[in-house]
Amino acid sequence: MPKKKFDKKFDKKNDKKKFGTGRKKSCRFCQDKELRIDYKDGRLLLGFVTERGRLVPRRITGNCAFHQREVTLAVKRARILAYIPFTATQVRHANF
Amino acid sequence: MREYETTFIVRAELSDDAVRQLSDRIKSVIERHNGAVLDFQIMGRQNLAYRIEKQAKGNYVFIDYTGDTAVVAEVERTLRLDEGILKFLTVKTGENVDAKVRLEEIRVRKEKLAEAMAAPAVAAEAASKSEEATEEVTEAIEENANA
Ligand SMILES: [Zn+2]
Repeated sequence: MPKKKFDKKFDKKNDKKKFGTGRKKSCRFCQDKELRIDYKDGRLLLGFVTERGRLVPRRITGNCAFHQREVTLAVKRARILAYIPFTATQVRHANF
Repeated sequence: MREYETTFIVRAELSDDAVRQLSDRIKSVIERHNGAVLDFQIMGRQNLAYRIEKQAKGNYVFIDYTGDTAVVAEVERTLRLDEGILKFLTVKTGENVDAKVRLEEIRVRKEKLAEAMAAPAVAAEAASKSEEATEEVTEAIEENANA
């Protein structure tokens, strides 16, 4: 489909101030087929949780539905095996 | 036959010999119940993300095997009874697998990995990939927080 031309001044939808930087988010795991989601890879999974250990929603990570589900499952497994913390308070104990 | 992988965390103070002995016991349990060990790795002592039984470190052991539900039940029972085990998790990774086919697949995969390690440039790239991913999301989180 050809791109519609319109005046950028009035392009509210792509207004950077209102909608972050406007950088296009795309699923990292779809782009890079080599990148595996593994519950044993704590370092990778730490990128998908906040500092407090909560899962980051898809709208922020940019993951597609399929891969976000995989990440969620992997994070939950990684927590059980103490690869990543359940909560932030636990971090303090680990680094005593 | 299904394929399962079990990871268990052994107390860090247990000697490498003790860990190997324990692993052999698990392997024999699998074989006794008509399962087959596909892959086995002692991943070594790592920091735990939170304390388990007052321990801050644990020795991670990983076993990939085929079998039916009886194998898993017996493996988990053995692990549960052992005082040296801090925690374990079993995950089903495949349905209707042929042990011989998978064994070959894993062998090929390991060979490729060894080759990649031999070529340092490729290995370094692979290692940095997961780091990059983490950085990007961290950025995204910060951006969102500022917005
Ligand atoms: Zn995706």
